Amino acid sequence: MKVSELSANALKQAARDGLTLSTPPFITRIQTPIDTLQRSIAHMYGEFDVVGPDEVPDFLVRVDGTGGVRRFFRKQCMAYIDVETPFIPLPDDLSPLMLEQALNWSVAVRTGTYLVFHAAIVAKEGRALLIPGASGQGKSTLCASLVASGWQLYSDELTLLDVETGLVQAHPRPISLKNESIQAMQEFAPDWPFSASYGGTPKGTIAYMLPRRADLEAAGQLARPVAILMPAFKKGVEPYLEPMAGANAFLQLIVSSINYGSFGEEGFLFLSDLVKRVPMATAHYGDNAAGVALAEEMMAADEG
Amino acid sequence: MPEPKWHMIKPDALEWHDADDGSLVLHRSTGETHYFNLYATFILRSVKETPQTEADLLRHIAEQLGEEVDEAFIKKIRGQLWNFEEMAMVEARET
Repeated sequence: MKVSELSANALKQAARDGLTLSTPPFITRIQTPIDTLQRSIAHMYGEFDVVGPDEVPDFLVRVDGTGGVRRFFRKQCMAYIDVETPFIPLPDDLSPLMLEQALNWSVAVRTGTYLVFHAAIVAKEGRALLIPGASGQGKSTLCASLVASGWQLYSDELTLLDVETGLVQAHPRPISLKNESIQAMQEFAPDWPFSASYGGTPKGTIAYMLPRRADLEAAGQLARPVAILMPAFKKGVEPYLEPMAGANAFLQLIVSSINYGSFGEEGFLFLSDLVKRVPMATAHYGDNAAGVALAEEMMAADEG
Repeated sequence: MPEPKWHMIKPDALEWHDADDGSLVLHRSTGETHYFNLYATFILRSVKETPQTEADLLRHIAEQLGEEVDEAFIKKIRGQLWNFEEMAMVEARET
């Protein structure tokens, strides 16, 4: 059963008790009494499958109100991962962001089996394009543009790489967009479902482009990374690819990895091999269509 | 007393990824990965290949890189050797 097939009351009750979702390759349990967040889950996670409460979750995320005097003039929320809370409180109306933050943190920190990169990832016919990049470089927007152009969404934020097989694992969730890129994507993909926009966050306004059912159904699939593209979006720039290789390319991947250090020699040898096998470039572009064209060009190099 | 020679502490402890613009080296003893530019890579490789006194090393590197052994050059090489020493990769000993 999909989340959108639950009645409003059933969803409310499930969210209070713990709503267990399939978020491949993980099982996630979300617990919250906050109305705003319950409504947001119904919309943003509407296409996700609900699994039975007997399934043991990989992550348990609870988003709850905070105590203290502040709650009387502006309600705040906080996320707890099991009992930990590495976050700072946010206003209640930003609770959907708090949930996304907590889910990303869970995947990044609690996933010991994968080499995790702060990188978007999309795929086509089992061939994956990694898009690493710091916040604000255009990683999620390029990912969203590619997904709207027919690529399969693996993740807009975290790449999960199995160092034993060399394959990446899909983990599709809502794609986070910021400020100008929200309107740009709504114009680029006018028929696509988006979440509400959330203003007043430390990063400005945030909205999410929602994954398609097809992306969720294909979430168990694996893909082989065949190209790495670092986005460098700048309005008005003529599009071109700037190849990157050698030690600098390796270094960029280490910087993008969240848990490289815990993989020791295995991680070093894996990345050393990846950098030698897979072409890497910085994509300079000034609009979404040009970014998509450069990504296609990178993938075509692998076919050749 | 013989002049000490620069040695690699554990040559097998280093895993190399060489590239045109430098190298990345995994130091298994500490678990850390280091980026070295071409210059630093050349110095470390030289010590790995042959334990040498500082004077021999300076001469060898200057010859290979076409540089003069002046004060600035000596300072640069010494500084780099001390960096490697701090990373527990090399040491100067009298053998």
